[in-house]
Amino acid sequence: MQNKKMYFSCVILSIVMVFLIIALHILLLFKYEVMSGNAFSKAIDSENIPSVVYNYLNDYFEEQYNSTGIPTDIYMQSLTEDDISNIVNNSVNNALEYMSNKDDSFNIDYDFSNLETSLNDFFVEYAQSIDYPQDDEFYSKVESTTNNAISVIKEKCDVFKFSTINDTGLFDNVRKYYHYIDYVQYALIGAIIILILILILLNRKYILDCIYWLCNSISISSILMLIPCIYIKSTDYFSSFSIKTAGTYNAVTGLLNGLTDTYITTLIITLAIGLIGVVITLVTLKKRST
Amino acid sequence: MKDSNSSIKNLLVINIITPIILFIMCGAILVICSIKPYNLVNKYLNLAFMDNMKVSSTDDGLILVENDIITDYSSETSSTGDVIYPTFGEQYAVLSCPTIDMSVPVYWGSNTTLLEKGACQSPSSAVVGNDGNSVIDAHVNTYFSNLIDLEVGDEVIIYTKYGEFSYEVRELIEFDKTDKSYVNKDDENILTLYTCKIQVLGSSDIRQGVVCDLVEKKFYTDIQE
Repeated sequence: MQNKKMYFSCVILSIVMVFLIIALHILLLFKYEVMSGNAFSKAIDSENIPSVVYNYLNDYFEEQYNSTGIPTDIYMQSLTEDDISNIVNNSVNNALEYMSNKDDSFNIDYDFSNLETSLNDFFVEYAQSIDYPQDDEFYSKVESTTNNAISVIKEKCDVFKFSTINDTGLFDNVRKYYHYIDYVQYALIGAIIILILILILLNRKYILDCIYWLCNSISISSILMLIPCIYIKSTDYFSSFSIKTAGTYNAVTGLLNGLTDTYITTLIITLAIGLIGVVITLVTLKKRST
Repeated sequence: MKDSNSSIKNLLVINIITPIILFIMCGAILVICSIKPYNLVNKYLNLAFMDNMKVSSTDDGLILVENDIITDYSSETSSTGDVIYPTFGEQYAVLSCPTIDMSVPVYWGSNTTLLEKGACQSPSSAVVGNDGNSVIDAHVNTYFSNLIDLEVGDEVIIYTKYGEFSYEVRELIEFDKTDKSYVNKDDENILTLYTCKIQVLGSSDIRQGVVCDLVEKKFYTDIQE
């Protein structure tokens, strides 16, 4: 009877530990992969986002040439793929710092002075060639064109659409609760430690049994989360992302696939540890019994 | 001895079955607890990841669907019927303006690639054949180069897979790109066509085009797939 009571107690504790481990795993993934920017950097590099955005901007300004008369070179000579890469990374860092309360405002800042000079020189030269008066109205048109170009570049480099997400108020919600993340992390770790101590108390006669229950919890939590991850990868779920514009599609699907891959890798490692622990305790149990 | 052996076997069996029992119980709890949150986010997930938009290419993720739109349907038609909703990137209509000799393909959705292929209809506007404002735009230097030659009273016809819809130009319009009044939803059954106004020494902030009233709906009664 005592053994049955102890067995069922360990089952309940194990079940609770499964969900605590799942919660801790997801929290650590969010904290150290998403909020640190690692996941975004990997997606930007793997999908070659700067090149995609650069080509898009080149095509965009080429199209605009037919209606504005401003050659593509005027824009693109002051923009390199490195510049694009810096702006994209800037937008990511800015968003993450804003969400984690390290910054009080969200803005994509970059030095566009080269672009401003290039456009200004073009307009001045053009105005001089047709004797167009360089009055206030002229400079107002130059400023409007420059601001428009900068706005297009920033909008296109915001591949993860942080500006749009910020407008929905999601960032403010994250900011409100983000400082609790460390407390939640320690609470989860503390709860798991307490459960392990209770397991040790219940199995103080054979401490290895505690490892059996702990490794069971680790294995089951890994398998439960591996199943949906494998489903997502096997059906290529993220490729049906409905925003198909160049840059955004590649960036978001790259990010989601990258995060899934990282999560699957850590799950496989924890599953292996759990399974090895279970096997060792079963072998030890057999030896102990003989 | 025999009792001892059987109890060892029992213990081993229990220790092997226990993980399976734990897995089933935890799985059941997870599924039950996930039902409500899943129902809450399901519509957003479906919106974000539409199954019929899967792509294998990651150039820009766009699925282009070219359709053969007939413009000489001769069988029976009806003034009422159902539209066939297009998907993003699908060529779902042909826009024809006989007076200015214009005939352009119309794609559902709007991005750089689609604007190179033809005119684009805003997905937030009414599908042609449904009530409301159907908004179509194209580049001034390509498909809508002579849109400004349209005059009040000219005929505009939209051919789709499911019907033919005739409009008459009611008004010539010009507006700033930030002015959404001509491209918003409307109670009237109208067609709005617009493009950029060519401007040098500045960005193309002005849009020009036409607003057309619906004159006739002809839904095909014999739709070929």
